[in-house]
Order: sequence, then structure tokens, then C-alpha cells
Amino acid sequence: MISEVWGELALYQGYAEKSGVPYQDFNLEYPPLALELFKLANILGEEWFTLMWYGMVLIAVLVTCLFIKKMKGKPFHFLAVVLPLGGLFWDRFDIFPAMFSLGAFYFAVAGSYWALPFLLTGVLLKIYPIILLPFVIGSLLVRGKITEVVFGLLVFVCGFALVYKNHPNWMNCVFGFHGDRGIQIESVRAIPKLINGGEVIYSHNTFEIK
Amino acid sequence: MRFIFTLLLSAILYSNTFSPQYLIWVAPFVAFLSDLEVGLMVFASFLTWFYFRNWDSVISLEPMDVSILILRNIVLIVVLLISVYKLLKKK
Repeated sequence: MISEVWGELALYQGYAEKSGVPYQDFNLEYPPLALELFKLANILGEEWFTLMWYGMVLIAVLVTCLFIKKMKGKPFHFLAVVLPLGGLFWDRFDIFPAMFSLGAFYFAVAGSYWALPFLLTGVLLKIYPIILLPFVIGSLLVRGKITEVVFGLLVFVCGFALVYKNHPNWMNCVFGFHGDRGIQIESVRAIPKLINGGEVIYSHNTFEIK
Repeated sequence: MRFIFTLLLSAILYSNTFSPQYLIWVAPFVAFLSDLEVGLMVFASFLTWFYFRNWDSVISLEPMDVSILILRNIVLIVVLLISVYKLLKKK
């Protein structure tokens, strides 16, 4: 049933329905904007959540393909990598920060004001795009786009400050959760332990190896 | 774009966490790589889907399924090495 939420989507839908203040009344291992994404998919209620979610993912896929096409890449290659993942792709929200990361570079190459705001959106969805910050700034600087960098950094700092004001505890919550994680069974670091037969434990919503 | 792909893939492979959906982080940047790298990334995606399908066997450390997981990681290391080589060659 498409109306039934299960697996990872049930987790997201559960977050969307939680009452109270995130990071204060309940723990959330994702940045604040991720919760807004879940709430958006839940706007019509639980029975529409799955359909809304897949619709949103489809839009993100199309926008990503558009960026790739505009940057003279091959959208088919992107699709060939993500589609075999099946539910691991459709039932996760990683396509959204990925789309915003690519978008940040698209706008940086075009010398647009949108580059850093796009990256900020990605960071507020899933932290990892923060490592791209110096390179987006660098892309703008080599094109002599000083105003765009200053404007972008202003938006970046103000955006962060605004989110921090509303959710002062979010970084402690997110970094506390992720910083405390052990060696995940699927990581490269786990290979020696997998070969030598380590002990698998369930922790932080995933499986780790000791 | 190759540099960004290399940076993100290095971060993923260096980290002590690697959820299967992390492959999506680098996927948009694969669109700018060579056919060989794309082919290997597609292979890594299929291997990911395959070991995840047999997740219970993976966490029970069944040799066959653990081998597929390890192979997936080795394929990604190979892609990273090719990408680094191409970056250095370009310089």
C-alpha cells in the first residue's frame, strides 16, 4: 500500500507528528531543516505521506538532472548510480542535500548570489555539505565575484544565527549523536574487523562492529 | 566537479560511519566522471543493494554477504584512486 508508512519513512513521519520543541522536548539526529522537510511531506496527513515523499524525491531528481545538464554533465550517469539503490534512495532524504550541494556549484560557476544560500540549505538539511564551503567560496572568488561572496557569507551567518536562535541545542544534539558513534559495519574502517570476526552491536540506530 | 567528487568520496571512506545512502552524496558529481568510473560506481550501487537485501546475513557476519560488502568498499577505494590519479595527471 502506497499509503502505508514504514521503514525509514515511518521514522520521518513520526518526527513530523511529534509535538514539542525539537532538540529540547525530543531528540532529533538531523539538522532543523530536515524536520521541515518531513513536515512538508506530512502536510496532507499520514496516509498521503509516502506519496508526497516520493513526489518530493522525484522533483529533487529532476532538478538535479537539470543542474547536471546545464553543467554539461550526463544526467543518465547520475540516474545509473542512484536507481539501483532502490528503497535506499527513495526512502531517504539524502537526495535533497545532494541537490543543494550541486546547485551551489552550479550557481558558483555562474557567479550567482544563490551559491552560498543554496549550500546553507544543504548544510541545514544534513551537515556534510559544510566541507564544500571553502570550495564554493573559492569558485566565486576566482571569478572575481566579491560581492556575491560577501552577500553569500552574510546570508550564511544570518541563516545559521537564526536557526541557532530558534534551536540553541541543535548542534549539541546532532554532533552529540554522530560524534559518539562507533565503527559502522559498512565503513571501510570495519574491513579488518569484518575479516577477523568482530562483535556486531546495535547502537545509534545502526550496526557497529567492535 | 571531479575534485568535489574526490573530496566527498574521501570523506565518506575515511569516516567511521558509512550508511548506504551516503552514495547519494557523490552521485550528482558522478555525472562529470569518465565511463570507467561511472561503471564502477554503478557496480558499487548494485553491490550495496545486494548486501542490503541480505542485511540479516551481513550482521550475522555470513562470509558470502560480508564479502559483498567488503567488495563494495574495495570498488569505491579503486574509484577514489582512479579519480585522484586523474586529478594529479590533469595538474
